[in-house]
Amino acid sequence: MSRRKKPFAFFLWHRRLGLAALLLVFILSITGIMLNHTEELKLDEAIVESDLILNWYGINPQGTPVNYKAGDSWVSQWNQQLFFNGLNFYSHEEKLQGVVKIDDISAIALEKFVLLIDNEGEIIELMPVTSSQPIKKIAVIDNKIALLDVSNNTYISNPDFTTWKKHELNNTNWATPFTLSEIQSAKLKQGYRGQGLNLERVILDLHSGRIFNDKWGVYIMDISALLMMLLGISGLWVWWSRKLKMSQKKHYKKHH
Amino acid sequence: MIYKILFTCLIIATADCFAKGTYQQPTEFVAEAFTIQPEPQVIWVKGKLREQIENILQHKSLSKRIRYWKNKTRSVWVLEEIGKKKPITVGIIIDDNKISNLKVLVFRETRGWEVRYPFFTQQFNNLTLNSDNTLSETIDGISGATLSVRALEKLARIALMLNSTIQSQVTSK
Repeated sequence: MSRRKKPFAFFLWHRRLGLAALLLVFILSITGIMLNHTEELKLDEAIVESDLILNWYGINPQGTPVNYKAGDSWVSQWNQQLFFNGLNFYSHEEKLQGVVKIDDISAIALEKFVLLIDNEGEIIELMPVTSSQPIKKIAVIDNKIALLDVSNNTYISNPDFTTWKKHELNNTNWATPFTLSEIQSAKLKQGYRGQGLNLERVILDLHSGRIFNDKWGVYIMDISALLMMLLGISGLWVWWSRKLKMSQKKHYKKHH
Repeated sequence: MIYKILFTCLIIATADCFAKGTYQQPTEFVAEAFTIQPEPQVIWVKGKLREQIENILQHKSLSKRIRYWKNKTRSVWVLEEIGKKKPITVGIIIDDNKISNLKVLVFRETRGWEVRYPFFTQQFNNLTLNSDNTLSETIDGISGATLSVRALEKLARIALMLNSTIQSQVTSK
């Protein structure tokens, strides 16, 4: 009984190892073949569009952007990132409350600051506001910046945009958000994603295991490689023990 | 054993709480620097000045103009520079081209917060700017806070340089 159990147990372990490694070995092998033919398959040129994969990499924006016009230009905020004509130029945790254009300067109202930028989207200054309450609207009055806070106090800047003072305002045209055209939306999405994600990167990360996790993902693939080695050894052992058993059987039949 | 682990976690969490924070509002720092607070003025960062600032920062200058407050020979600057990942806001008072007070106002990083202590910031008192835009004395670093120390040194140099620029503008007028 015990003599028969040993090879059978080994065969069982060989099967378990095989099943455990099956998926990872498949991934390793298929991605390996694909990487060997990167140029023929044009993996480096194929851009990944799948929301699932882009979300996994954390380069897909969540929610919808808030957009304001500034003359011929437009400013958007998407997930704390600020964009000027679709190009990312600044990051701020405060919400965008409006944008106005005065000569060559765009004034972008955040909750506690007014961000001044030039026509190229370069930052001039992050200007603090006097109000202790968050800002909710922005407008232009006589080439000066006007602000409205959540307590309905109104402020106006000096012509150089360096100081604020309380000022009563009536019938003000506060900046209102607008909806982007399809082309603008596509440009903004492109701006958010930067250079994008090519298929070669995804396949490489799958092959190395880094797609699962930056730190320990590689160890998963290391384990699968070790399992593959063990599978070879255990397969060889099963084959050898069966061969030995068959020859013993033949020998027994011959002599008895 | 569990208590030891919990105690260690508590110590670490407490240290982290002390590390980050606003130690003084920039507006309060400016107000304290003057008996009667002057209106803010701005200096445009362009041409040679921009080049010099970017040389000190070792990266592109983020703002095109910097605001300051000035009365007679005293000027006050509130500047920001990234330590490791997040900006450190520093208030600097300059009297007669010498730093008379440097204070960390807002610290947002989780490490290097020791730079806010007076034992460190007092080293900047009475420092001036050499002709090659370096500080007149060497600042002793703090182990584990190298990047924060470097950021404060850069800001001190920039404040002194901006101060000398506005002084020369006044003289030329």
